[in-house]
Amino acid sequence: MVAQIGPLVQVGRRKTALALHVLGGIAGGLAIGVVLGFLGVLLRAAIGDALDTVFIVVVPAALIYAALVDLGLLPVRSLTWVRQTPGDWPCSMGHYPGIFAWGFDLGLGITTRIPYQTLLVVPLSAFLVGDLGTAVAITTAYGAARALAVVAAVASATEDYAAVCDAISDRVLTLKKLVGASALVIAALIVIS
Amino acid sequence: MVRTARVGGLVGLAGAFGIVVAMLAGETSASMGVPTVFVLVSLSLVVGLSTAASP
Repeated sequence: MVAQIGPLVQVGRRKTALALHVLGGIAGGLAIGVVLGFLGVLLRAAIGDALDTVFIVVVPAALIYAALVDLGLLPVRSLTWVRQTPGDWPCSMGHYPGIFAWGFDLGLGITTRIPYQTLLVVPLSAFLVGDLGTAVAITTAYGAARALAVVAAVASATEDYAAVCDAISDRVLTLKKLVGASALVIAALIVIS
Repeated sequence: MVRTARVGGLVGLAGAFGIVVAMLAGETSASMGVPTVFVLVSLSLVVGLSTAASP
């Protein structure tokens, strides 16, 4: 994404393009949060406060599973799909709408390749929390953070975006382990709180 | 130095955003308190900030 969006922000207004990408990420996170939150509210209406018990059991268990996979301690095949956000959107939709759509697609979180298994717990927790506002908060934070990470990478690059991508790729395993370790800590915090 | 400050600023901005969102959502949530919402939002921030290179 950095290699794609990096050169594109040189074509138009850099700050406008990056701001639109962040807005797209926020919009994508918000959209999936509304859907999952609504489904969660329906589930709460169906099973009542038992959903809180389900949440306390399932979310930490999912976090531990995801953490073990991301840390490389559980040698199972990762759940993911091959779809990537289409690179031709800025051509087919227009420069700025395409950059916004990239942010939206990535902000959804579940429509593109899953880099870490811990990512799957984000929509799962948004669904099982059974509250619309909380679900929107969880997924919007993800969408915004993912878009801000792209902005940070583009902002830190001079013009050699491929080198930035290589640098990030070199750290993917480290990031994966960091995410896995964070998932374990968060699982513990959910159980404690 | 400027780049580090810029990246740090963006990460800080994301963190501040997460805290504010967690407090707002936590106060309106009937079953989940602020701490749980903050933890869940933190998870989203950690995963989101770690996926810059993924298409």
